[in-house]
Amino acid sequence: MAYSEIEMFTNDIDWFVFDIDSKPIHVASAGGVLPNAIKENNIMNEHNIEVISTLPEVYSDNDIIINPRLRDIIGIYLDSNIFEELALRNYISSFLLMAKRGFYSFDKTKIEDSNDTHYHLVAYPKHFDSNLLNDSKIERYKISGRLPIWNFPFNLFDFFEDRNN
Amino acid sequence: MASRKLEDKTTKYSLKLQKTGGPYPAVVVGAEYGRVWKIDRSRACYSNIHRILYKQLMTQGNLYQVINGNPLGCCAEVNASDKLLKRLNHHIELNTIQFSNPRRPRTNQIVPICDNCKITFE
Repeated sequence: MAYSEIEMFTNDIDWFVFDIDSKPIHVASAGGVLPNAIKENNIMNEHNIEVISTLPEVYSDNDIIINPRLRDIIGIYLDSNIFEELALRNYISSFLLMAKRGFYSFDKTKIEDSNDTHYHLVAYPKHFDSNLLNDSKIERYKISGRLPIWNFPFNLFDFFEDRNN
Repeated sequence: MASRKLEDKTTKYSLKLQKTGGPYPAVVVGAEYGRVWKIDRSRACYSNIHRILYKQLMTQGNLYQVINGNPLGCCAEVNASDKLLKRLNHHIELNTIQFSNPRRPRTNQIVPICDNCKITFE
């Protein structure tokens, strides 16, 4: 089964892949277009969402790196009526949780443009442990590329074989 | 411009959804006319959508057709204003509806209004 266009464009869907180094990647869709591999396999993705929601937090706040350029990347979308620190804390919370479970957690950069496929890294563990999720029941969809740990937005779909943008 | 009260209620609703840990709608927004207000999320609009909204949306395309990157009739603004119009039960112009800032519940970011809604409500 596939996600319908309405589901895809009206929900902020969590999706998961592993890169060539087995780095676990979490991505928040923000109602944007999904890669074909995810869009066409909602059963796999919904299964992974369920499994991952029960994973323990294996890292503490001190074990996580937050993108130091986050303020520059998402600043225009933050509520200027709220203290910036609080707005950033609100922004980070779901990505921090994924990083504490061992994921490199990415967010969509231009949230107003559903077809734009640029994403930025929000949070990730300081020390990558490729064995961390071996015993979990996650269904692994592996991409052919090696995902870079960059502090600036990039076209995430460039790292998919079946890029659909 | 929406009232402070509607902005606060929309923010509270967004933060409440954030705390659930997902699944999250892409956007939530509040709509008000006078002292009546409704908040709703992005999703497919109901088939019995208010006739005023339906008529306006039909000038842009078919319901659920992807136009300007978004399926028509699925924005939070459409759903919130549909609820509002049904509650009011008298004719108003769509451009007299006031909206809060649209918010993304996962992050509580403010989401810019899409082109379809600009056409529908401006």
